[in-house]
Amino acid sequence: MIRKILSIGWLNVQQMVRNPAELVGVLLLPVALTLVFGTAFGSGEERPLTIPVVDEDGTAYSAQVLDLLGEERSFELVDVDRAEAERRIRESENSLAIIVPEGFGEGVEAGDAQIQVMRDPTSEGGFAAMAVVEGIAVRMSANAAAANIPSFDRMGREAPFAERYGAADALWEPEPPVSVVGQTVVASEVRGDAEFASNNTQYSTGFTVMFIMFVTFGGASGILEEREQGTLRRLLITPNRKTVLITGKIFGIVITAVLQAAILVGIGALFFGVPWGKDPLVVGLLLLSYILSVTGLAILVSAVVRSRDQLSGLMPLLSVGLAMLGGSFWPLQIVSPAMQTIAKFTPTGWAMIGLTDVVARNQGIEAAALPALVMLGFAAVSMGIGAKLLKFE
Amino acid sequence: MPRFIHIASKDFRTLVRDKAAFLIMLGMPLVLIFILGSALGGVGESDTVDIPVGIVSVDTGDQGEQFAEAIADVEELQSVFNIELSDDVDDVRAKVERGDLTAALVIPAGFSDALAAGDPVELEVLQDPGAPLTAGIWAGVARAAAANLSGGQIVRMTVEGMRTEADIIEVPTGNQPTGPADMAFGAVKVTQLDVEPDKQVAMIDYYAAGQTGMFLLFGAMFGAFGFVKERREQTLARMLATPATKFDIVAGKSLGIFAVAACQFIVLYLGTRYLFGVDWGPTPGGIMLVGLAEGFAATGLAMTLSALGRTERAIGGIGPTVIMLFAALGGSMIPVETMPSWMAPLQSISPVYWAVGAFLDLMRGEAFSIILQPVAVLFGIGAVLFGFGLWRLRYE
Repeated sequence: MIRKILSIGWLNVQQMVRNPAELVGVLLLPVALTLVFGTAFGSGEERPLTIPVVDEDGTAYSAQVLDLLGEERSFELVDVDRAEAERRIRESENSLAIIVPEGFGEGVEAGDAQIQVMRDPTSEGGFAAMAVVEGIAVRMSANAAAANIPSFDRMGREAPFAERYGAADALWEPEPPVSVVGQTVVASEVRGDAEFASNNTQYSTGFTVMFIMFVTFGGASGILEEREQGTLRRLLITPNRKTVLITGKIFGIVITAVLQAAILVGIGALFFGVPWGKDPLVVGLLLLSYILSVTGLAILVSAVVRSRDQLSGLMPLLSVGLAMLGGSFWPLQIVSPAMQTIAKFTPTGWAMIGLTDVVARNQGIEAAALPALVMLGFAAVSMGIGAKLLKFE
Repeated sequence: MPRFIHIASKDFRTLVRDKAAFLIMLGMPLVLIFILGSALGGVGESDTVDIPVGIVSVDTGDQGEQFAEAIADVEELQSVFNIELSDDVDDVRAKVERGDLTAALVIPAGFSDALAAGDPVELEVLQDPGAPLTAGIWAGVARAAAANLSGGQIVRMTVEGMRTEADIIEVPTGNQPTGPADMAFGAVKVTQLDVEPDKQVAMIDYYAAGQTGMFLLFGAMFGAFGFVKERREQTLARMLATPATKFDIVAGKSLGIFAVAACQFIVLYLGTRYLFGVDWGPTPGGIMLVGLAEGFAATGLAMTLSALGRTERAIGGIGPTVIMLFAALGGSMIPVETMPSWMAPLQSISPVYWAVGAFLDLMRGEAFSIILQPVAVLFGIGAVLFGFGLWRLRYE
């Protein structure tokens, strides 16, 4: 019986490999999308936040504001005038603009200067940038406070403000008296001291999760195609029981999905340095549980729909929708608690939770057990119902 | 009635007769738009996120605890973060490792002493590798807080430097700060200017535009399926035996596909508008024109797909590939503004990019004239795809 199952499954794989167009869908789409988005959003540093800056003051103090902003690696400054800055914010082209108004330098000496910030109220990008601007304001204020303490040189002359300001400012370099270092903590190891960890893992796991679902739905639609062409019915005439046939078909889909997963994991690991390989067994367990769960979903859906047209309509919707709900496109932390709960009702959500724990956080089997169990449970239920409902003719 | 209209109306009826498929095609995108709109409606708005972070102080003096509490008391932070105070660094580190905390600021032992002595202090932010985005935000908060401390230290150092010099030179009394501990630095303030933004596009509006742009192309895939099916079942060949010319057949089929796309568009437009209150802007005529132009591009795509794919299975492989790429590049999933500029040439071949961009412009209240270029490009893309399809099309 096992041999029959294997040969039916193998047939499915062969059908796919022989069909160049389908290979395109299985190979090219995921590879292209992963590469494009991996390169586009890969690491936080490669995509600096463009900030229009306006210097209306033109003093050493206003220049310092721009210098300090320019030191931020995650910022890319563009010099514009006030009207242009306002236009960019109004039209949501940039999320934040910084203006150093006229009289700023005098204001620093008089203890009354302003850095003006224009913010697009609908954009979420400005929060981190605001912290940087606040930090600059604090630094300059402290320098001004220090400079306002009268000091005299050896001759008894009072040093000019600018000189005292400069002396205080020098104390911030190379490191300020109180500095902050970022450390990404990974279980059982310490990985560098990058201020921002890379986003690659999110994209690599996310796309892997999404495309596996695509492939399983593609496989399920192959079953419907055979039903429409009557070859499934012919298989029933052979001395194979229905369970053997269905198991074989499922097996075929699973092999294709495993191949797909291997390719995506390979791309992530080779091109984007995603640490997929730290714990291959646990990653394998999670991916296999996930593949089984979405294969079950695909079988269930193809059993419920009547035609391949219906399945083709549902497929993009289900896969894109579940991928988005499950956190394939953006991390789940940034969605509302209600949506985080909804994610736990999707196989994609559990796959993302498990893979993030294991791949990004390097946690072992203890973190993977629950997600794997949930997905396997989902697989058992959906495959059971789906196989029962699936009609061969 | 011209033959091609006859063929078109027959195709249209065939599709409508499969009520389930028709419902899926028309109704399900609405469901997805609704889910996305409500799911992401609150991204970045402080009342909907609650990022778990920690502050650990292992300082033996009292400055560490004071510093931690001062940060935790800031209201603006409380609205975004759920701040946990602790003095057990191992426990907090384990929580960050597991992802239970997104990031944690660690105030080291000897913090108070170092501050008192004017020695450099290094604070550490532990970051969860599974949440680089949000952990980075907390690191930014920590840096701003550290800047405040540094400022106090620098003022102190200046005062102390002056005291040592005072051995030689007499310093005028008075005017001296009493201590840096709770010094407020007010010389440079950050003020927010109110910019009256152009009419903003809400999340649900954005996804209504983005997903509409994508699903119109999926409609084209159905068209291609129909064409290939007829070729497989040889009904196309039979049609060629009738007095209907190739022109009649192709024009009829295309018109059928276009009619379906137009229907789909109208349902999506009306559905999102009246069910979810999506604000498509003040120029419904412009929206319609963009929708129809993308429908035309979708029809061209259907022709190209039917020419390229020999079987339905093949189209099932190529179709989603092309459409998803177009959609991803065109901003159906992630706003195009967040994509790097080198992607622009790739984006310009995606019908979704032009359609979604034009929808969004109109939603923002731009004038009708702004969509003329995108509409022209959409018709151009449609014509190219249509021409290619026609050239390579096989009828049997």
